[in-house]
Amino acid sequence: MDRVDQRRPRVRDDLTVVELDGEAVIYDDRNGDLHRLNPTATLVFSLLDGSSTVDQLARDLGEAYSKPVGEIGGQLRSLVLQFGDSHLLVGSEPRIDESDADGN
Amino acid sequence: MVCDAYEVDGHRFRVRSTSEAFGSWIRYALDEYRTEPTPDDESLRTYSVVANDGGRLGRSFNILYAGTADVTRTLDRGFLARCLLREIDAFRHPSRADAVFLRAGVIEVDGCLALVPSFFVPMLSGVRRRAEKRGIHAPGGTVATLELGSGDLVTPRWSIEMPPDAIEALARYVREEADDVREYFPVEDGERRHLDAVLGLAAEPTASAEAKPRAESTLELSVAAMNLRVLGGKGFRAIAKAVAKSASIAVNWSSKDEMLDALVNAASLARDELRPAP
Repeated sequence: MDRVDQRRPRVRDDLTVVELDGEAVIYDDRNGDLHRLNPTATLVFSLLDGSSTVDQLARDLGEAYSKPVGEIGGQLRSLVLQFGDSHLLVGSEPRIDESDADGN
Repeated sequence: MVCDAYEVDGHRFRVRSTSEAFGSWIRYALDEYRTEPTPDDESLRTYSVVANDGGRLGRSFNILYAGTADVTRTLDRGFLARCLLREIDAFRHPSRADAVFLRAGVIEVDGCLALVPSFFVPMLSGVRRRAEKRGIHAPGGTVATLELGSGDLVTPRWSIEMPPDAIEALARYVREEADDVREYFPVEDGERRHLDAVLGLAAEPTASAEAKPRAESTLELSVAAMNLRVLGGKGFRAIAKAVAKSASIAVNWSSKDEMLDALVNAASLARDELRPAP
């Protein structure tokens, strides 16, 4: 079990998220970035409220979808890491330099 | 030929007119922004008005180009004047917070109001007569405005300073013919209209009109928004609301006739999708 499994990922409160036909589209006001999530990523994204570890989420999803926890856990870890790299989680906020803050 | 340089909030550009009369009107309407010519003016973004001063007035198209791209091709010089002013007004859109300003065209196909990418506009402008015969009203212009909150299409208030009679004054400069065609925008001043469809370019190289994910249209319109950084989340939500209430369709073609077919088919798809379930 690696460290990612013990994280309790939480989506940033300051993102603007809309869901259209099962796909989330996200606007990050801090850096102007836009993100589109497929339906699976949208489901996972909606579960990241900081209350569960990745490991717990993998077990819950495995049970709900009758899938092996190992398989679900791998996909989940990958998505959580991608969300972090995309600055969508608390603790991964983008750094704003002066030119970004000016909207330039 | 009349050609002058202007500057709006640091954006320098030229407006050139083949018509002396129309050029005089431009000077009157944009006098506030006219600048002294400089040796560098040749490199400026140029709006070109191709209009006739006499003879077959009203029967041949008057054309507004932004660089080399058609913005509008119309028999109505008053309409062309409004298009030109709207293009120039758009220099201030990136800093405005009262609406969402999109670089997009607005067309109407058999009553179906649709947004199209701005690069569709010159293509449609080149087939105006054929398009009108197919029920496609694509008068031109590359700015669409969404109301915050509702996401409906509206016309923005002017933000450039002009004489109060700037548009009406055109009649003093340019002789109107009694049988001149009167052109109109799909959404006119003071109107607010619900959007029916958002059209984008399909990845397939063959002629087509098919539904595409609304998430994709939301992304495309967000990228086309000139003032999203100023508006932030409320602008993004207005865009998403407009897309959520309308059909999202990708079109493609390999000839002009196929383009018109694709747009007619797209409108039909939109009507089917938006029709209330029995």
